[in-house]
Amino acid sequence: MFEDVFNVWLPDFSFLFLSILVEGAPFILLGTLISGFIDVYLPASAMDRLLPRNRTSAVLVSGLLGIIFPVCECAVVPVIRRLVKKGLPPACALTYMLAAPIVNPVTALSTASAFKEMPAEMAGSRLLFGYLIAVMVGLILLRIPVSAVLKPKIVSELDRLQASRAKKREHHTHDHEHPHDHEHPHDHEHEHSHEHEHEHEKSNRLIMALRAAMRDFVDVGIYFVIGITIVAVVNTPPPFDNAIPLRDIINRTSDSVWGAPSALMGLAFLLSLCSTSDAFIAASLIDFEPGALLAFLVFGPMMDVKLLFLYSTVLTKKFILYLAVGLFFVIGAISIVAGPLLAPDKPIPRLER
Amino acid sequence: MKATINQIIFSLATIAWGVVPVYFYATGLVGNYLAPNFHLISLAGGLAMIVLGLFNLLNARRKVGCGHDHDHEHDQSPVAAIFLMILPVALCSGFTKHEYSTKALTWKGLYKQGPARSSLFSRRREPFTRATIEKSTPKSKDGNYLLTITELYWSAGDKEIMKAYDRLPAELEGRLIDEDPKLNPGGNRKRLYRLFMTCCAADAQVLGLALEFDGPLPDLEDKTWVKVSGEVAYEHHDGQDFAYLKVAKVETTTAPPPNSQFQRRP
Repeated sequence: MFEDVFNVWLPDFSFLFLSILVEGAPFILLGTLISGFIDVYLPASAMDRLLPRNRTSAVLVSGLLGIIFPVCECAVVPVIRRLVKKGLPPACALTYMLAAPIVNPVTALSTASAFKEMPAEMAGSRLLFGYLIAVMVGLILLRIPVSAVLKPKIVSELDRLQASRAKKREHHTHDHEHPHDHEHPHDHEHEHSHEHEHEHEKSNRLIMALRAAMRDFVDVGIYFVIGITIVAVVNTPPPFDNAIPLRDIINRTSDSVWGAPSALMGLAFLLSLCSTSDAFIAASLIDFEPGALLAFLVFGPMMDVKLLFLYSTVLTKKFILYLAVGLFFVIGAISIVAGPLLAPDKPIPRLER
Repeated sequence: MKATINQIIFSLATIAWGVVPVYFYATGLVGNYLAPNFHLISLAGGLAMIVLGLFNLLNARRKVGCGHDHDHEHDQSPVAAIFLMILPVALCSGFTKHEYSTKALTWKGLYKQGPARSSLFSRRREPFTRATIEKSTPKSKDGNYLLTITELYWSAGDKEIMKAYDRLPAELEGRLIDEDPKLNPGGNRKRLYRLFMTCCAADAQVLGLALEFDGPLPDLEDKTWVKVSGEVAYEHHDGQDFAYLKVAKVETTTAPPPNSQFQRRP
């Protein structure tokens, strides 16, 4: 038994672990580099100008930002974490976070090319439902206090930011004339009484941006490791005999109306695939109807094992739980209703070589 | 001082993560871990991690910002960085054999047959005949069609496609492994397999095909890369159709280059 663990289980686990790591880490790095540069180069006030003032319209627009800023789910978390700290309303940030991995051109193209027999139906319905669900979550978040959604540390940073901006506004309204721009070029998580952009040299700002990027990379990387460890454990055959492979268990549900989408959402959760390429896996699940595959394609980029840990760098555990359960039921219900409409007389979509 | 130490540890963690994909790419092992379209992304990511880590390492002591170091903002614990970033990568790099064990291959479907995929063979729903194969498939010097395991694996179950492939002289490339004793009552079979990967090894599907020998079984180690030629045949058992090859010749070969290892054509 122990010999098996060292000679078989550990090498298989390590192989799986490293394969997911080398696939996902570059995308996390991309996200954290963007986040580092946002930290240093994007003024906090820019967020106010980026989106419509009307909160509902802002959420609706946030769901489409992935078209302009296409990022996968690994990269989006560090980006929205930084954007929230820059003053982007959490409802907009989370709408973007949930929608961007689905509502973007790369995902649309990969979905269309994976489902050659029904490209428009599968890609279109995936993008549409991904957008609608993300916007729905955003609109609900508009009515929930920020403290119930964001981690206390981020809430206190936001409070400090708001206080500092209020103070600045007051200072500019009532005080003396200003010979230069006092806006600080980057947002620090602690109080600064000395905001002098002109004192920073360009090289210093680059160092600060890359330090922030690395800090975020380590922060997110740690949670990513926990996530992929679980994914690798689930996908490695256990060291005892007679274990049933996960795919066999999943395939047994293919004829069940509720069971099929539930099982595929469970599979998407455990496999933690990248949204840019998960359509090819979905297309290989040829025992399943398009509705269940749609559930797989919409749920996976919004909630999976690795995301659970990445989300916990921004969101409270309670909110993540509510979000996971809510997404599971809403996406499951949509897939059951939309499935038959999607391809009433068409054969099950198949993988194209 | 504490901020500088944290900075150094984080830099080392970032470099450690960068070294792995760069090493895999440089040694060609990347083909075992990732599908070809991820190879360059992984290399670029690895190099960027090394550059980012080195840059921050070289500037670890430098004070930037408003005259003081900003790294005290919300640093992750350096202990966490060591135990959750550096150590897992180091241990997994030590333990990995860069491929699945036979047990994992079995778990991933080595001895199973999936349903037929008719759409793989005809995009326009045209009839699939021997002439279709003739038009689209190159031949070896010996006149065998250079097929792939994926083609034969996914042909089983579709009567029209099976008819076109049946008794076709074919050459296949893959890795040789012992047949499941339950599928080998006569003791005259081996199995040829390849991995079909979409993104990374985690999602790889193992596609296996039985090889039937007239004479003695080849005395080759498990997972040896081979070229086999013979005649395509089908059998029906347990309510399913299975493709297999009646082998005429088997010879060892080298592993294909990383960017084609999991592609359909050798």
